[in-house]
Formats: sequence, C-alpha cells, structure tokens
Amino acid sequence: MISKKVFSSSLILSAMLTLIACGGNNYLSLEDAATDLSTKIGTYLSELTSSAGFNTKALPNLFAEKFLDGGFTKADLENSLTANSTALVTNPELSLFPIATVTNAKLSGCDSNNICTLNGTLTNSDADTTSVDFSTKVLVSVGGVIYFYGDQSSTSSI
Amino acid sequence: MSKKFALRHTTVAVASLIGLISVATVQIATAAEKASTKPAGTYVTGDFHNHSTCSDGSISMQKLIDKSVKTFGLDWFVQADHGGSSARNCTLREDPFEPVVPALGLTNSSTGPFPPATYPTGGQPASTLKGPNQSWESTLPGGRAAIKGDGTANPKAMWRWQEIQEFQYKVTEDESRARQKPIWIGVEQNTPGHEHASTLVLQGQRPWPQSGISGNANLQAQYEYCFDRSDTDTSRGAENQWDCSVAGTTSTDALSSTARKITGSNSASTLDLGHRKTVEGIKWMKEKAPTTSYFVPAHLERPGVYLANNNKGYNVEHLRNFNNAAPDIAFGFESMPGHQASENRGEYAPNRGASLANPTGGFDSVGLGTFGGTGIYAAKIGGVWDALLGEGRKWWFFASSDYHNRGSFGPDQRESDQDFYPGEYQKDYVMARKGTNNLSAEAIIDGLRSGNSFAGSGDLIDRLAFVACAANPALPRSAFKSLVEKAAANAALKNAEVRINGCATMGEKLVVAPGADVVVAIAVRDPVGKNFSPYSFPNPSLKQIGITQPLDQPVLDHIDVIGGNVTGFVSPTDTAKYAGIEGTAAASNPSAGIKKVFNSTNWTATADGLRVMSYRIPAVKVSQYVRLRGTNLPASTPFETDANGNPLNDYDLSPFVDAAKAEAQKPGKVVCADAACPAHMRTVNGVKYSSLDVAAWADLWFYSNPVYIEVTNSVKVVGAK
Repeated sequence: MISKKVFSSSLILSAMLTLIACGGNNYLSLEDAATDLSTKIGTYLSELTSSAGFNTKALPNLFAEKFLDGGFTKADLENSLTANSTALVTNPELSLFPIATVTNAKLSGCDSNNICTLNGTLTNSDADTTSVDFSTKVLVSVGGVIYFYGDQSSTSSI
Repeated sequence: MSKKFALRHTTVAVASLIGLISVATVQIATAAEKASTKPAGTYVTGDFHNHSTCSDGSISMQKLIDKSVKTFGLDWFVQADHGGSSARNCTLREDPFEPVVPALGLTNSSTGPFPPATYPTGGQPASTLKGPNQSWESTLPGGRAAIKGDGTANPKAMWRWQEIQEFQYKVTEDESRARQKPIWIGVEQNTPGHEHASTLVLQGQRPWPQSGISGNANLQAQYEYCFDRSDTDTSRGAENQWDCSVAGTTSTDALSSTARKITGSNSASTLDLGHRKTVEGIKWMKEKAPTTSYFVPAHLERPGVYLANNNKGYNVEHLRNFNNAAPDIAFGFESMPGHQASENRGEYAPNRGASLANPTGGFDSVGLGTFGGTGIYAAKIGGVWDALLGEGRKWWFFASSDYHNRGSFGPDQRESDQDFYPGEYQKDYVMARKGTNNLSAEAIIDGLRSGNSFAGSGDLIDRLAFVACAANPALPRSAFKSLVEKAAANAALKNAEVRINGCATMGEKLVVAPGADVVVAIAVRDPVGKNFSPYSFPNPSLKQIGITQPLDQPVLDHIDVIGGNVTGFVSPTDTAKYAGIEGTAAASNPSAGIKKVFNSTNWTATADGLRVMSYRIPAVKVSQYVRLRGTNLPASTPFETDANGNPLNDYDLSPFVDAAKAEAQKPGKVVCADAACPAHMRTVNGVKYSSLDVAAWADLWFYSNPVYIEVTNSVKVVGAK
C-alpha cells in the first residue's frame, strides 16, 4: 500500500511507464504493467472493431456516476456512444470524432473527497499532430480506481 | 486524504483510461480516414476574371500579368478577357514596358534602361495606335486576310477564338513559364440569356510548371466559338470546322446547319433560348474536360433579374439549372464583384444604364447596390446563397477584380476611381494540394471546385483555418476545445488546413450521429503591416464612431459564424421552391442566421496576428452548415453596418453629382475630412465624402465557404464530400 504521506505529497501519475518506474515491492513491475496495458488494449480493440464496440460498458465505466462536465453527464456519454454505434451501421461515411492519446499524466491537488486534478498532455494522431496540456478532475475511489469526474459545471461556457 | 488505496489499482485504472483512448484512436482511424488521406496543401492566392487589350481592357495582357503576379504577388492567375471579337493586336505591349514612379509597389527605373523622366504622368497607357492599341489588321503580316471568319468592319475585328487559339495562348504560356507561376487563359463569357460568367477549359494548355512542348488552348477557343453570345461568327472556326453538338444532350434546340452551333439567344421570339444554350455549354464542358473546366457566373446581381426575352441577370433557378447540369463545373459564383473603386461600387446601381436622354431606360441591379462590396445574393443572410447551401449544394463564393482600367487615373498610379488590379484589393485564397510538387493549374482548379477556399478584400485577413469537429464525448470539454483550437492555429500558421479525422473544413461535410456536439474552431491571421491602400489617413467610416485607424492598416473587428439548415435538393418541378427572384421563397433560407459573433472579447489574440476562437454546437439534430464572414467595421457603423453587423447598401454611401443639375442627386454620407483625403473624392458644397477607392478601402470583408454537418438520420448533404 502506498503511504498517505507519499500519496498526498506527490501522487504522480505521469503516464503508465512513469508510474511503474516508481518501483517498489508493492507496485506493478514494468513487465506486469506492460502486460496489463497490452491486455487492456487488446480487449478494447476487439470491442471497438464494430459498432457494437460502442455499446461496451468499458468506456462509461471509466466515468464516475456523478460525472458532470459542462452539463455533459455520464448518461449523455452513454447515449452518444449508442448513437454512434447505430449511426455506424446506417452510414459508413460517419466521421466519428477526433481521437487523442494522453501522456504525461499526473495526479495532484487531491481534496478530502478524493477529487484530484489529472494533468496531462493530449495528442491527436492524425496527419497533422497537435498536442495540448490539459487538466481535469478525477475521482479516486476507495478501491483505488480512478474515474473521470468532470468540472461539475452544469452549463457549458465552451 | 481520508482513505488509502493501492497504487497498483490506481495505476491500472489510469492505464485503462489512457489505454482506452489510445485504442479508440485505432478504431477511428479505420472508420474515417478522409482527413488523414488528404495530401498536404496550402492556400494560394489568385484571380480568374480580368481584362486586357484582348477585349476591352486598357493595358496589355503582359502588363496585366506583371501587375498581378509580380507587383501584387498573386500565386496564380487566369487571364480571362471577354468573348466576342477584338480589333486590337493584344500580343503587343506598351513601349516602353516599364512603370513610372510612383507606382504601386514597383521599384523605380533609375537603373534604366528608361530614365524616369521619359515616362508620361500616370504611367504608360496603351496609347492610341501604339503598342497593343494597334489593330490586328495593321500589324499582322498577312493583314486583313489573316483575320479569319465573318466580319466586315474596318479594321476587321478578330474573333476571340482565333485570338485565343493562334496568338494569346502562346504569349500567356511564355509569361507563365518565364515567371514560373501557373498562368493560363480563360474567357469571361458573354453568357447567352444572361450577362457574364468566368469560364475555363484548361485541357490542352500547358502553363508552368509544365515545360518542353507547348500546349494549346484549342478547346477554350472552341468553347468561345460555340457558346459566347457575342461570337456570331459562323465559320466553324475556319479550318477547325468545329461542331458544337453535345453528346447525349436532351436539348431540342437545333444547331445552325452553317455555324454548327445554336445561334441566337433570349429574345421575344426565342424565349429562354440563351439560357438553354448556356446550359448546353456547361454540358459540353462536362463532356470535353470534366475535371479542368468551370463556369462561374460573374457579378451576377449587376444586370438585374433574369428576363426570358433579354440577356440580363441570373435568378436562383438558373444557378440551380447550371449546378444540376454539372456540379463539378458550375460550382459557384462571383458574388464579390470587381470594379470596387467605381462610382457605384461593383457597378451595381438602381436604374443602371439610364441617361439624361433616357432617364428611365435603365434597370435595377438586384439589391440596388453591393453590400460591403458583395452582391446581395451572398451578402444577405438567408438569401440566395443560403438557399443553395440549404439544399446541400456545392455552390461556392468567389471574388474577382474584373480589372479593366483605373478610371481617370493612369495604369501605374496608385489611386483608382474604377478598378483595382488583381491582388491589389481582392483575392481568392484556394487550397492547392500540391504536396512536394510545384503549384499547378490542375491543383488550383481542384481547389476551386472543392470549396476549400475563402475570399476577401484589402488583406483584412490572409490566413484562415476553419474546421468543424465532432466532439469526442470521452474527452474533457476544455481539453477537446484546446486541442481543436490549437490544431486550427497551427494550420493557419502553416497557411494550411486542419487534417484531423473527425473534422471537416470548408467545402467538406462532417457526418455525425444524432445528438453529437460539434466544435467549430477558427483561426485567422490579421496580417501585420500595411495592405496595398495608398492612403494612411484614418478610415473615415471608423472615424464616425471614434476609431482612428489608418486606411492601409485595417484591423479585423469581428467574425460572424453564419449557419443554416440543410433540407435537400429542390425538384425543378416544385416551381414555387425552385424558381424565383431574390426575396422569394425559392431564393431564401429562413433557417439561416448569425449563430455566433467573435471579437476581441472572446477570441484569443497572439503576437503574430492570429485570432483563435471556437464554439460548440450542442446536440445537433438536423443537417446544417456553418460559414464565416468578417469585417473591419463594428456593428452599427453609420451607413456601413446595421445593428446586427450586416453590411448596408454601398450605393447609398457615395454622393452623386450631376454637373448639369444644381443639387446633388444623392447626398454624401460619410465625410472624408482628413487633410490627406484625396482630391478625387466626391464633393458636395465643398465637403468631401468617402467614395470611390477610399470607400472601398474603408469597408473590408471576407467570406469563407461553408462546412457542412450531416446528421446521419437527417437530410443527406449531396453537394459535399
């Protein structure tokens, strides 16, 4: 178990490999993490190769039940995924949406409710690559699972 | 921290979260590869409508080309004189071919070979009986006999088909290759049944970067012979023995057995014949050169509404007819006309063509004037352009200089009370996907056809990245906004477009699921420094509202995002919705409106002149489009913009003084009080008013082409890819 002192002072989740590189007997090894990650990627890949993949719970399960981001709720996310799933069937021209990877992920600023700030770098992987730094709120559960929490704003200024 | 948890779990959770997003990358790349497969390109500037001594212009085509691609730096240029006939030998040029001082952006000739003192005031005109003002008949080795086809005039005029085929093309190709820029020949067609259109048949022409064997403009010449209203030659192009029939046409109009073309046009006895002939011409282009031709109606509001018995304007149904005949050839209009410095901006006016002798003999331009330099078909929100876009048509906006002369000023003087040179005031910015190759005419025509272009005046902006992206529901809103904005900014800095899967730019459509959010991102560059205006005194229009801003250093005030719904193509049999003049249901899109206004309060400005902004269209349910316009004038600028920022009628701005009458027929509106205000401004009772070129430099706009958003269970946007 990670000590309270360590966690509260600098729980840094700067992407998986950085995290894993923290080392220690209680932590994932580099190899274990890589295996774990590749397993996850493989699983999700298989789930997302058809429109049915958008109906998987894997993605919404990463969002807290109280997720709220500029008025966008977890239910909205689920509806969006379902809509894309349906649309993929009916229209092969569906543009879907830009996709990005997250790197340099770091957790900081956790409060008494285990709401932390996740800072990271967002990078799309298209012909033209763009990177931006961002931050968002996440909820860290008692079990150590991290969920997107959103800015908890019910209206969007964006 | 009140709870403890295992780092192992945390690690795995974050890994899962990040991994999922990564996984989705792979999925989406296979589902929508459009953006990632687009070759890289940049926006390049050009003009495709202008005149030289090959028709009714005042200077040689060599000098016009020099002005356009050298002085004003255009990247490409289409020399497009009228069809018909011309008596002047336009292979000749001014002698000496050297500008005077001061001239627009030109170095002086102090290094020779012609001392400045030898130049006449105002620069070298094409003097009477000198240079390009000499006749073909007097200068061709074969004299009159060398001029082919019908004709009895003295001196005999040469049909434009012969000029193009035998003389003009060679000069143009030589200019192109010497200057290493794509320069080629088009024709401003005297359009049967209408007034004018910018047309092109490129096939056969071999401008730079092609080298070696010379090309030809045979097909362009044939098109002119077959379909120009003013080309009444019946010789079938002499030894060419052209036949103007169109394979598979459904036209019932017979070709003349002698001329082998449809002769005649709209008249009392041949209603609509000209319009049908024009449609045949578009079909002919589609048959002969389907990917290297275009037909773009020019200053189409100027001649008034369409008349079945005359050759006047275009109503919306004619634009639909053209587009239905060949959407890859008839794909837009020049609703931002040339002649921007003229007394009546764009030469748009009420009772146009009237005279003292015949005071009621004129006709009204549609809209009775331009609006911020743009015709009402595009300037009026919810009007003709929005009606066409509301069908999901491929119908794009263009500007042209329509250069003929500088009015009372010489060709090298900086002032003008008639026209601006190509590139001096207006530009078309067109996406050319040339990759690592040289810029080519084909790439530019592809760009024109694609709709990935924008147009503007006075270098108000010189870069634009305009993109609509389906919002990724799994990414934080603020992060996604930042990503798309930065992508737009990066693209604008590179003078390029955003190429990201799940995003669409001008001329394209974004296909989204019902209920998707769409993020619209815009990056423009308001260029640092001066434009080509010769005036540095404060903009008189802005001075009215307390803003002091040099005329040659305009500042972008705001951008309107205009949107409207797409409801699908209208059937020609649905007459009420298909045909009608401006203001009717057929020519309207009531869903169109300003959806968002950006200005200095809600865009991010950077030191390099970029203005970056975005907004989210939530939960789209119906197919729609968004387009942009921007200006240097705030809303409610007196006599320029209304409270919503819409441009007001330019005709009303400038005073008109008839020397034969004691009172001004049209009062002045915006006083030009600065000591530097030039002498040629319209003056009433000793007061100078902003008019002519000053009024044009004071009132600048840009227009983007639209980005379509197609919702999968809504109307399909047929006109965009």
